[in-house]
Amino acid sequence: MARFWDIAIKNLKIVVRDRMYIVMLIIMPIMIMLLVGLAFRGEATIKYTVGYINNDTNPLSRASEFIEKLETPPADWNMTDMLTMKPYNDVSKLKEDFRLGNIKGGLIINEGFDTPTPIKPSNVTFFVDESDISAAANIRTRIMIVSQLLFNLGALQSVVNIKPPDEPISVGFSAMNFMVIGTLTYAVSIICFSTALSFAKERQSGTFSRMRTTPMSTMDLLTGGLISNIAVSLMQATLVFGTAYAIGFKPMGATDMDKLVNMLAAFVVTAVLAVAFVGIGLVLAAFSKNEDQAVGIAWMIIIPMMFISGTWFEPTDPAMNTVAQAFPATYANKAVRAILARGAPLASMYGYIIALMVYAAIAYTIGVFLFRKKTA
Amino acid sequence: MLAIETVSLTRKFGDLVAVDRVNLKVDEGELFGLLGPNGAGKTTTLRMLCCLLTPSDGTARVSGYDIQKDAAEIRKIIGVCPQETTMYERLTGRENVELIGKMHKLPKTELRKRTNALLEKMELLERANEQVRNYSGGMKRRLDIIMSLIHNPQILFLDEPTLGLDPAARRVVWDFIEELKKEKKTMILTTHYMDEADVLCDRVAVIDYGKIIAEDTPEQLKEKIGAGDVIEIDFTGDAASAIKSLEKFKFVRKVSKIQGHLVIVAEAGITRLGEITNTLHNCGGSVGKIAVRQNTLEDVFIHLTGRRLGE
Repeated sequence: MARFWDIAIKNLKIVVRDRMYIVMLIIMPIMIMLLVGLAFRGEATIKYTVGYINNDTNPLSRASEFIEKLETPPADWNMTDMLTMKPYNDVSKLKEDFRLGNIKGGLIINEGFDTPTPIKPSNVTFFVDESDISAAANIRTRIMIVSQLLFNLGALQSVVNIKPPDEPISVGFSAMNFMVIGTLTYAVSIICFSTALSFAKERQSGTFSRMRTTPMSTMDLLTGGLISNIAVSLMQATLVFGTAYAIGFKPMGATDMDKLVNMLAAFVVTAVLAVAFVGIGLVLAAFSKNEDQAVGIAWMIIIPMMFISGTWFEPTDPAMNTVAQAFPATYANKAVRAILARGAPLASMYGYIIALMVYAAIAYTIGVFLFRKKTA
Repeated sequence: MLAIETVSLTRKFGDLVAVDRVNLKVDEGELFGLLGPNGAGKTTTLRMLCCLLTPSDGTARVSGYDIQKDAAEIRKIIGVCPQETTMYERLTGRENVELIGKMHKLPKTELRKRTNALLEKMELLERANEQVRNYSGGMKRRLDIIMSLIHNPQILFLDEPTLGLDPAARRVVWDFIEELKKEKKTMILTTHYMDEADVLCDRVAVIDYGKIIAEDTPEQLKEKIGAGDVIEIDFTGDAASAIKSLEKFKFVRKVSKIQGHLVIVAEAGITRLGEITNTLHNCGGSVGKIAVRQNTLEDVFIHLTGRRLGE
């Protein structure tokens, strides 16, 4: 057996026997998967309550219809019931409830809202909880779309020409699907931490020096480390998907074969992502003077990466989206989320997958180079 | 062929010269000791010979192989027991030993056989399947030695092999080294325990501040500072004047002041105690405890450096 296999087996034994590794690599991802999975399961069941005041007293006004369509869109619009419209008579009460967090937003329909002439485009006052990114975006978008659709139907005045979607694009897409991929990325990202820690530990404890007094080469040690980490990442993917599936995760795909291929592709992307994280971990190990430093620096990279790379939610700031390109998790999130959560064809994701592969190759090469240089 | 030969071997760390132009020759089958205080350069010398550290200057050959050009060949024939116990705590004792054996590509059956034999010899067989983190310091040290021997190396490097061990564990290690010595295994042993070097080593090099300051058999080294007794006297008074007065005696070979003691090397010293104490009284000082013993390698070190090994 080649030496690197023995190193890989040794590494796996250590991982399996060390409670800290087990908690970090296995228990934590499963726990988070369960928590976010349970919190977000179901098909777009999320609902926001929006308070409204109708000040338009014109008996011909279509304001009531507008409110009604916001709450219950017609079936042929292929929209979920996302908003609960709560009536108010008093602006101060509306604002107070908003401040208390009882409603996510407020809509005040001003007098003359639907008077045919003259056109008054600013006939609605609207505010929303901007701190809740997803709620703000969803409510604002829903109000715009409903108003525009009503305009199209001639019920309201509009110059925007939009149509409802021909196909129900959101059926089957749930927040849970989004979170499953995020959880997987988070789990694999811990490989960056465990690589930095294990190699720093090998160096600090002297086992690395001891092994170097044998015919083992540094490349044997590094290759063994890579193989064991890829094995761990695939184990994580199996556990995360398995746990998610048990509580309702449904991978997307046009046919069962597509779903299977998409799942396999997700495993391949996971393995490539693991290579990238091993590379980053090696760079950190090379620059860390001891285990504590390696751990500290690794978390300093992992945590911001999780927020910027779209692991838990998509960043809205264009600058941050640019920064996100520096992290391998960004490419993995986009590719796996598209194919598994939205059912995009695998072929359409080659760009991200190739980018991730190139990233992994470069990160691993730099990691190996620096680690060898620092330990020569 | 020499097992080890170094020529002007030097290692610098910035401005610090840790090993300074060391020349050594070690024969095959010899147990050679590097004796010196902590920080003298023993481990650095060893790390260069084990190809873990590149020399700043000079050369060294291990079994004829150059340490800079032939590191891969050297790693096949050496066994190294590092100063601090280094093993994978989450692996069992057996797994640690077998891992090193696998790195040396030992056949599976031979590896299992040798592992069992060595574990038994070092009284670790019963706990071989326990994770190492549950071992005592002495058990880890013994396991360390097994790991360095599993592939039956031509040359064994033992860096402070009994450091931190209790007397019983130390005795087990000494006995094992004696056995290896009978098998004519070439060994390089570093230690700062003079009794260890005295008992075990065929030849000893005394190293201080990176330089070899003496090299010979333990007997010859002790002989060089003179046969006779070593008398240690607690003395308070004018030490310089006392030393001057004592050096006038023909039977006195050397007098040093070490940590409030006067250390006197004297022929038939035990019969001369009266003359010595009278002289010290005449110098106006007071004499406390007196100890008389045979000279040791520590006395050699004191003779050479004016300091004890532990200072």
